[in-house]
Amino acid sequence: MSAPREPASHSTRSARSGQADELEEFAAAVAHELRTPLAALSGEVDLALRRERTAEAYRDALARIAVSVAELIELTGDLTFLGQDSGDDPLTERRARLDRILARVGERYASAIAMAFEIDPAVSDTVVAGDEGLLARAVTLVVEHAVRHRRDRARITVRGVKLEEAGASHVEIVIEGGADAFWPHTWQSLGPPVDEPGPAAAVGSGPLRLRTADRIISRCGGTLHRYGPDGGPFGVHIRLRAADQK
Amino acid sequence: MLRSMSVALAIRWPEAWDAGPWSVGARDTDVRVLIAEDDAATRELLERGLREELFRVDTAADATAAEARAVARAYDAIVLDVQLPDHDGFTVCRRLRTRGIDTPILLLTGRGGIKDRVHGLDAGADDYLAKPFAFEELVARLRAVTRRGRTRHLETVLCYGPVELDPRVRTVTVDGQPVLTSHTEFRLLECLMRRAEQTISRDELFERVWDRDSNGSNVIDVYVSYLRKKLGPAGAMLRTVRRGGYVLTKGLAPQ
Repeated sequence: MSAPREPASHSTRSARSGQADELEEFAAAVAHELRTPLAALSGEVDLALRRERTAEAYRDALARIAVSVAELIELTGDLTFLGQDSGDDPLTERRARLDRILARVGERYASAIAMAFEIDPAVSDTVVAGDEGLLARAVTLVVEHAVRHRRDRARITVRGVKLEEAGASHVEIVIEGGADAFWPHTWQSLGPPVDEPGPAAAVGSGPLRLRTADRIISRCGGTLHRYGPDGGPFGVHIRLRAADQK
Repeated sequence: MLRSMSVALAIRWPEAWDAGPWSVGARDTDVRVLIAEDDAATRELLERGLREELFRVDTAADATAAEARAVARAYDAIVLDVQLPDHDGFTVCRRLRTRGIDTPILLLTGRGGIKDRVHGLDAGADDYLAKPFAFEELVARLRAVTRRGRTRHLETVLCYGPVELDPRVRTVTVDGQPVLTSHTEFRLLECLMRRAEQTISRDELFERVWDRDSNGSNVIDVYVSYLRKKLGPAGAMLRTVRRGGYVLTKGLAPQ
């Protein structure tokens, strides 16, 4: 005979309710991110089949479809990563070259308007802790968020800089625009500048791109913070731990 | 003026549609839609698709630009994404209604829950469509929300002589034989058919078909020549009016 069930305590019920809310919010964010490329994909197919077209027009449609499919594949990769147990694979033991990370991101945005990539020569051959592919994905996600939330195609700069503090060597990838480059709430879900007091980052409730980026970066031993005067929306710092050079 | 019953432009109304009398050229029949969508791929797709369906389309990538455009110009409908980078679509909707803008608004969203739909409709939207959606459904809903106004032309089949043009399915036939036209050729022909036997100036054709000023370009002559070829013998009805523009007529072009 099983023991009678204890009524859940107030704190347990509250925790469960919090988890349910979090799950609901996460599911809604995922659904939104999936629906956007799916809408573009299904729309392209609808339009292509709507009437007879030239071979060139079909080729163009297929190329656009391929972009949406690639976006969906990347998104499923992100979700798989988010679902992994962080203890399975200590990413901090892997090594990545900063210049290669920035080169990957730069390649993706090579034709983007008003975008600049600058690497401090001092960090060009710096090796950081973490997985190169995942870190490149994280930086891409943050840049993509910046691109989608900039005002009037404002210029965005991605810089790699070296920091020396408290005996530890760090590098930073800075993704920034000018004072009015971004809409005010663009980086709201991120924590305050790393050196300023303030509430902890609330990335867990932010856009999926930023939470995925934050998860990758933190699993690689780094941090993701917004910066700007009075917490303004100037941009973000991705701080990574420099590792032994290889 | 060469105008007689035998050459008059005929409009065939759908049987189920109870339309009142309406003469061609008596009103501006263009339907202008504003698309406010932050995702570039979706925005470009909607713009392209709706242009193909003969809507005139303006776009905005954020709420601020969308609101400014909606206030500055009279649109027949606004397709408004709920999740814009600066403000949400519900806010834009409410603000437009507060400012007395009663343009029909169709909300597009990645979230299709009942709460969101109710929120959108309460904010003053006329309709709601969850992503991903069938393009055909979007067009049908746009027709529905603008039906009270200027979209009747979307429901009509235009006939002039042996040429028949159906804007709903974007087809052209000559003596019942299909003629494949590009988007631009189609719009040009439609423009001329809607005002058959009236001279339309080059500037007006540029504004209506290319949505811009001519700036002395001869592109219009090129497209007229394409159309003449594609229409075969019926292409002779497409006449040049010296220093005037073009006219679709079975008679002689006015001098």
